[in-house]
Amino acid sequence: MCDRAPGGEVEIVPNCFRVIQRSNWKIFLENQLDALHPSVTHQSTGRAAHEVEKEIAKRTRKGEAPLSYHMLSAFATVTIDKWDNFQTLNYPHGHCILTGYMGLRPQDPDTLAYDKVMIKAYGQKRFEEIVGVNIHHVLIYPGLSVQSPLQQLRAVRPLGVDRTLTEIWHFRLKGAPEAIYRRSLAYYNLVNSPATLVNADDLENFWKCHQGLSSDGGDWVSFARHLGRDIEKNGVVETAPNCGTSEAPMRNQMKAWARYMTAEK
Amino acid sequence: MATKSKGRKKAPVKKPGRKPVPKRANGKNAGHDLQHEIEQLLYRQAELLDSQQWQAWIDLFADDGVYWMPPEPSHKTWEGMPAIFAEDKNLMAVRMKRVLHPDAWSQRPLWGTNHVVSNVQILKDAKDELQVRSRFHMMELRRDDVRHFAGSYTHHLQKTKDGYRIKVQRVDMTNAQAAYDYVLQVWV
Ligand SMILES: [Fe+2]
Repeated sequence: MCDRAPGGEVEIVPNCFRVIQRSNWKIFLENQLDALHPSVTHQSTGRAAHEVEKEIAKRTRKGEAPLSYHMLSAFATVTIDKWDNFQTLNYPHGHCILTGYMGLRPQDPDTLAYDKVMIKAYGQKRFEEIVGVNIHHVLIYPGLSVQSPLQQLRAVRPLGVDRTLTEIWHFRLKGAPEAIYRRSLAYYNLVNSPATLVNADDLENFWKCHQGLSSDGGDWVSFARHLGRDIEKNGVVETAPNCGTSEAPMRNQMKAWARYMTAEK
Repeated sequence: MATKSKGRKKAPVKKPGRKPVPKRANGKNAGHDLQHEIEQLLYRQAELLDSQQWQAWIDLFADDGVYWMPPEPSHKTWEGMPAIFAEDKNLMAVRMKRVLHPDAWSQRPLWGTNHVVSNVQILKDAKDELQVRSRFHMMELRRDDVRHFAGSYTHHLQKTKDGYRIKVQRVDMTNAQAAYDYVLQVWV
């Protein structure tokens, strides 16, 4: 994230949104890179935003709603079949990465202005390296979830077996144009605030998962989606092309957790 | 060694982020009719929220109206600042349509709110703009859980030929900085 700042540093914006989930912390982490749920869980928000986005486009002369609507309407426009195009990389100790999503290199005027500042600060070669880093979302198991292209960070703090506190921060890239900060802020306010249009349905589903798991319904949960199709290279498990909804990240996290739980002193 | 302070004035104790209690416009009492009219508007707004008449609630706002809940009282604007809510009418429409969508999973359980609005003070009574401060207490029930939210509203009202419309509603929640047990799904 620091590399993405022309000044080489990020500045923490002094506001922390704190939200408690009534479910085990592992459910939250398993959800973070899950590409299967967004178009189902968040369809009400996606469709509502898409409707209003179209109305605004019709009304305004420029024919375009602000970019922030796209952050929400993508839940409706990126249908479930398209989510398989994404890819996750799964590292030892439960760490995972979701690669490009929402277009990592958009060509709008704000991004182009940012690119210019970055090239001036780093030179063309280093700039290409930095923006070429194909990470949308990274999970540092078991405590952090970071979206560096949008400068968001969620820290996960278990309060009990069925209560989890998330502390949500966002950052300003030093030296970057204000428009880049506004993009990060829009995401922070719309997706991560305590009045989020997005996470309400996630938290509701986490609660249901937790209720199900604490019942006598069954001892096993299947994380078998696309098992056997993943590709393993030097200890890193990559999902296969067109298998982005593989539950490889969940398997990877459970593997790490089982290792921690059975480790000899 | 301690010495007597020579007429050192004690700095006035200032609570962080708290504004002094505002005086009424021109120190005068606003007319009873106006006071009554404004109170009815605030009560109606609360009633619309509690009876879940979202569109009618949105219609109380001017076309460029904004509903704003800053995360802390020192914030002067929502522009370029983190906010719990900072919604124009378009975003209000998104929130309403989401809540009414049959697949808004989190909306399935029993859910309801009860607002009480009081301490209504007209702070500014200009030709075509009114500024009103009031206090609210909202109780929410979701499944078996009760939550409480309380604080102050500051309404900037615009006089139109069809009565008053809300230009800005600022909501300073006393527990805005506290951790949220679950989230807020609609306006407070
Ligand atoms: Fe989600």
